[in-house]
Amino acid sequence: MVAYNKFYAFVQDIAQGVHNLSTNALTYALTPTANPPVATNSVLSNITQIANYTNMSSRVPTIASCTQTGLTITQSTTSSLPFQFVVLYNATPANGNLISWWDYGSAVTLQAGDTFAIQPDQTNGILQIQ
Amino acid sequence: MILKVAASDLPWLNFEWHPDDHRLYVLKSPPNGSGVAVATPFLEDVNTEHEAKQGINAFIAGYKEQASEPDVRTGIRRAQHHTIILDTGILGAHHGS
Repeated sequence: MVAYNKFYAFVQDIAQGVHNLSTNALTYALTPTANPPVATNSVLSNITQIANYTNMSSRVPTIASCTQTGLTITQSTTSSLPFQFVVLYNATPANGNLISWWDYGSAVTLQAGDTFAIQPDQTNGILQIQ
Repeated sequence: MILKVAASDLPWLNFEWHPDDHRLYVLKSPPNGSGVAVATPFLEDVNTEHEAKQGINAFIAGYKEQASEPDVRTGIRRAQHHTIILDTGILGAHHGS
């Protein structure tokens, strides 16, 4: 299981009503080894994503895939660009406010037919607010 | 006492050495983490913890090598399936996440 890393701005964004985690469109971004996210990043433009997501299936999880089923990204043809970090952000606000990230531990390049499954804890989901 | 070892980058695989029957078992779970793990013995006459760890390392090395090689009959590269299992973030007055 890979450690959850919080962006500092997420708590403030929650307090200021930026996020509605029940209805907003959350999305996973992928970043390369050379550009790891840092906790002080706050919006999507602060992180360096891989240059394109060509031929990659949806990176938009549903409520169910954030809590139980997980999301599997499939590369249909050609190869993806290498990535290592998975970043969760909220695509509904114009800035794409960042929520959290996880480190896969090594770079992955998906070739045609390869898959990358993003599996939350099936009991507690991605995030618990207590 | 049964020795349990997890394969850190292959989260659907776990291993157990049972000193009583001197066997090494691989426990394979569905890649999404749900369902029941299936235990299969793959090495016998394992008498020490050191031998068990050597056997586990050999299994993992072979598993990875086989997974990355083309299919022996068709020569076509096999699809690779990666899984990242996310820890839960805890957000609250008494938590630092």
